[in-house]
Amino acid sequence: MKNCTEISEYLALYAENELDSNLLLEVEEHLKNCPSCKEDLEAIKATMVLIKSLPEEELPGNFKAQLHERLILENKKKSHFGFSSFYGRTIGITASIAAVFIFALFAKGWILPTNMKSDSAPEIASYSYAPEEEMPKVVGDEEKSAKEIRGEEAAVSNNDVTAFDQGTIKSADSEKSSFQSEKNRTEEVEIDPNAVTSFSLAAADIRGSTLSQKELTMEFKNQEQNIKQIKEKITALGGVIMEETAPSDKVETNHEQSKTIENTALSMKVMMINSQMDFLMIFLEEVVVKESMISKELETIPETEIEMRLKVRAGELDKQLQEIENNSDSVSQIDSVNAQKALVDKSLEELKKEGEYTILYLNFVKK
Amino acid sequence: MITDEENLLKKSKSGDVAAFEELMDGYQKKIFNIALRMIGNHEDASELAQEVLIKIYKSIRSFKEEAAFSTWIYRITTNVCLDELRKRKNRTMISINEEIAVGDGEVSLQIADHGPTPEEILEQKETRKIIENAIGKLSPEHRTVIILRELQNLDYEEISEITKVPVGTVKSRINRARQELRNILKNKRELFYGDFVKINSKEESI
Repeated sequence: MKNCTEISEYLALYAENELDSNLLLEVEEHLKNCPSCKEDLEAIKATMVLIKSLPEEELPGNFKAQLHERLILENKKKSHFGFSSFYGRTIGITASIAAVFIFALFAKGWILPTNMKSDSAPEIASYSYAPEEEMPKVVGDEEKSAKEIRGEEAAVSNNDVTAFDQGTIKSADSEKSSFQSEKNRTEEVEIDPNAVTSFSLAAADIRGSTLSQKELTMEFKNQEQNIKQIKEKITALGGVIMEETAPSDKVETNHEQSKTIENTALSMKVMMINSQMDFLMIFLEEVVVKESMISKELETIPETEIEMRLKVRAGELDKQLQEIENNSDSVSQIDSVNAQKALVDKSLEELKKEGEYTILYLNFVKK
Repeated sequence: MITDEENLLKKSKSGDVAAFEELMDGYQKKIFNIALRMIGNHEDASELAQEVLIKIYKSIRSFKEEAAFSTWIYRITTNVCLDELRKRKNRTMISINEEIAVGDGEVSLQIADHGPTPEEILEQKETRKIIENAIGKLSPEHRTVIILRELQNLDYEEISEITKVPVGTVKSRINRARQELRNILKNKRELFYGDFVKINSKEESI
């Protein structure tokens, strides 16, 4: 038997029915024969009620306004790209695509005559905006039927194909690998007539919105040529810069006049570069704004729903792949496409490296 | 199913201030009230609650959704308050020694400072002050569990998660805190009649 002191340890819990059955019985038994503990219990119960009677108080009048100001301040401190969500990453990827493209065009535009400048602007526009124009479709047509939704997803993967053709940057990103594989599978649907018939409904949608294998191959070749051209131009650019930075030797031997002319020419070129850079920065900012708008729209679609749709889609495509894999001809075609992709990836890597060197040169020239 | 809260949480994680404010709308008052009961005055509680909310905003991206969102918020709130109490310990707050020494006489002395008449004591405002004072006399740990249990109506498991101590410890802390409160309020017999009866019947009808 427990004494009063021991029992008092449990009274507050007893008051709330928080004791396990053994202790409960013991406390109840004790309370029957102990008026002092019973009084204690009543006092504790009363205290609890008293404490609970404290009302919930209202927020001070300026609380929310004050908090709002602080939050805005806090938000400004955060980086523009500081998103960690799925869509945040997408923004980052697209932005880096835009940046690389802008850089490539910038390098291109720089070594070409000034009249190329006007050409390069629409080029940027078509490259950077193409994926964005397609993405909102997914948002707008959310309410559509399942069949149509499948079509939409095909459109998304098609959009990826286009992006890939444009720069192969997305393929360089491992995050896109799932889309890539999906894309491969959709390609296969087109080259295998059996698959088309057995999945006529879904395939019809896909076919409508996906590039054919032939077109894709052609695009790859075009892209490879583009990259070659850009590479050549960058190499040429390196030569030009070398020549232009060399004058430090000549300057010593030449007389004052030619020195001034050379300096003027050089500074004009630097000014040109600067203005082009400004233009591209403004452009990049626009791209970023558009992307954040799109990501906001995208966020209205629950992520789990997208995941679910993609899962369903992946299931379908897996089935299709199973059938297609029996056809060795199409498999070899896949291999060739993959090999081409790897090639393009490699050239892109090289291009990126050369681009970095060019920036170094540019900085040097500026100085 | 995606609830509004999940949706707002996702937006808040990407830095959306409006979404964050909406998400916290239901919690702001709770946070303020916890701070108020922990600290004791409106001005400091308001400042502290803001601090808590900014802290939540800054770290919301690290919220892993393993625990309930409310638990996470309560934890940040109590931690910020306990930190503040620790900082103040040497300055203004009642020391632990004093608390242990609390007898019947001292409590009445506190009230005597305000010079209340028996009629005034029966007033809700005065009653509230006594209760608030009593809570203020508890140690920070006891105060925390009492606020979470009696004022926020959380269950033992939740309190255990918030304070990161085992349920058994939570139970014994709540038990001790109640006994302590009972002792502090013991001589305030008037509290248990008059107004108290009204409060009591009101509570039970809810």
